[in-house]
Amino acid sequence: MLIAVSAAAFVATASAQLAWHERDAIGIDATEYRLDGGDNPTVTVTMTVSNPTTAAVTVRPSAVIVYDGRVSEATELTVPRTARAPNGDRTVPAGGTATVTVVADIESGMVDRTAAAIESGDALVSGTFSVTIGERSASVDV
Amino acid sequence: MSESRSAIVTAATRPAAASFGTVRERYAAALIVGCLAGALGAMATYVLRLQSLAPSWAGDGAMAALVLASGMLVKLLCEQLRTSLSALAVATVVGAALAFAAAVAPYLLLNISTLGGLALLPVFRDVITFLVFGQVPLQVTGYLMAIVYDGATA
Repeated sequence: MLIAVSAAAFVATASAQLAWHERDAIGIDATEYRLDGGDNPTVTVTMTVSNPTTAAVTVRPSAVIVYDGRVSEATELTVPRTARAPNGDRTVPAGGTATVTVVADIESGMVDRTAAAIESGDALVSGTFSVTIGERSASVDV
Repeated sequence: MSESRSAIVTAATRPAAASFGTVRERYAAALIVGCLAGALGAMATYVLRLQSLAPSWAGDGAMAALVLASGMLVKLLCEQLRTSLSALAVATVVGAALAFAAAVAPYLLLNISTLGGLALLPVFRDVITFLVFGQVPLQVTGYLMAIVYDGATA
């Protein structure tokens, strides 16, 4: 009984440690962009998170920006530091995938350019996601 | 059945009786109980060392209690004093070996470069700290508690 409890705790912790060392293998990719106009225009990005590690991870966007074509200050479509996950943190099981929805504000003057970028397929996401395993957190590049 | 095999079977099934038996039985009992207690203590101490990655139900109190229990098991399973002391020594050595093996294992499994072992030095420091100030003292304390229990219930 004692051995079983100890072994169960050991295996769970060892899996989490392996996952921690492998966290850079977590893949985060944008699959869909949607422009929502109105008084406070926003871009909604649907992102797929794949977790090939041996433990469940919790992800949330920490610094994500949508760009037009390439990553530079001149091509920023969304306002920096406005990206958020309206559905909260998402837990991705070991070896599984999950979808995370990210919403970011855009300035009124950028609506047309953003629509054109999405239409032409030039919109791209770059930044970092916060990845948490157990009580440890780290940033993973998008 | 050979004498060696008979000693191992006796030690595995009735370690308390084996601890009072022939020299072979005493050695077998000390080895089996020592390895068992060492593995139990090393696994629980590993979880203690990596608490930030441990599941919520494996808190530090529960894991420390398991290490303590591994020390108690040594005396409760090997009742004869000298055999139990040998088993405690085996538990300490096996526990230390497993602790270092568990610390190195992720780097070997994932083929992570350790810069000739340099990257492992902080990990080894943690392992030694938890051995010296956690695993061994807790196991010895558990062993002493079991001696007191034995004396009180004799």
